[in-house]
Amino acid sequence: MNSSAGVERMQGVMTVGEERNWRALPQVIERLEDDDESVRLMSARVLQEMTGEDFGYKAYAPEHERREAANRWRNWWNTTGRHGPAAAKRKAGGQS
Amino acid sequence: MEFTREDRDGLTLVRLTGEVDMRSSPELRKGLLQVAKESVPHVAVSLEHVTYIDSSGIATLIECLKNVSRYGGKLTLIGVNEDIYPVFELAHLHDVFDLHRDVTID
Amino acid sequence: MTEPSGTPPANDHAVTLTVPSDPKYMKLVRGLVAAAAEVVGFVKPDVNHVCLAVDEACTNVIKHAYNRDHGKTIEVHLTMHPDRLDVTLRDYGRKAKPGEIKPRELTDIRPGGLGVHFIREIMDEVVYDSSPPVGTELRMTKALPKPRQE
Repeated sequence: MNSSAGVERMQGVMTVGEERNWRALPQVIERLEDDDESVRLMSARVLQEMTGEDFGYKAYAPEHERREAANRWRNWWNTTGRHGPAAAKRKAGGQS
Repeated sequence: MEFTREDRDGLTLVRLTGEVDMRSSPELRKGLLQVAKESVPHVAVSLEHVTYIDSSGIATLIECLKNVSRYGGKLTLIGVNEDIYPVFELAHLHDVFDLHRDVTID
Repeated sequence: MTEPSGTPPANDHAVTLTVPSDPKYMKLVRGLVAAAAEVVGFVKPDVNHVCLAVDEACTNVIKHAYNRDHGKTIEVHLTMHPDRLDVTLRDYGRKAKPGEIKPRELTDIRPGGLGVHFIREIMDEVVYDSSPPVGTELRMTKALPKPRQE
């Protein structure tokens, strides 16, 4: 059963997706390790929709796998994502 | 959902943006009832920027069609995008409404 | 929701969302259903259709089971299988009388009655279970389309 706080976190993640708020992606990445699986599932979807990436993250995978994938997301943000959507797209386009 | 209205000579163009569901369809209904009340000869509703519509939205459009037909007016739905058209097909209403994928008004 | 110990089942997984019976939460429900449908492997327009079916079912709960009381709760359980999505909606409101839940005839062009039609048209199986002491459990399933033979 979700807490009302869990529902609020889900709504926050959805709003980031609706508003295409690129600068808020780090907060969504953090939600990949949320205790509430619904929040994790929504976060993964918003990230994939906005960036086209998934880095093998599965909301239902064991905790250690989720953490590894979330760390790949964090690495992506630090090296590529933080420079903005255009830069991220250019980088993705350069990879075969 | 956003509802905007542009009145031209004999035509009212209603533009909808966002999602039309149980929460927002009352606002759509209010706006369309007003347009029909004015007996506008041709009402065009653009769904180009509608990302979701459910039965409450469809029902509101059916009501508008009936109201407009009652005074001999015409209702056209334009910009019926690929997310929205299947809902009309599911309701078997794609032949009942004057539906257009593009946004030009004849 | 506490994380179960050990490895979740390899082939199916479930999430639950409990929301107030308020139309403003339906967008959230649709978002989660879309995410779950995509995990199963559905693509558009099936993802949109499943969201529509669940939205219609929730709307019916708000209107009929709860008589538009926005202070009740709706539980949405989504089970993601390799080949299908199971959706269970649980309400604790008025039970529908037998014969009340029926789609309207589509030859009769009038507002209203479309919701049940959409649910039955979209989902492969739809079961309304009024046996719980309170409320109703609606169980729906949609299977992934079979791949086309090349």
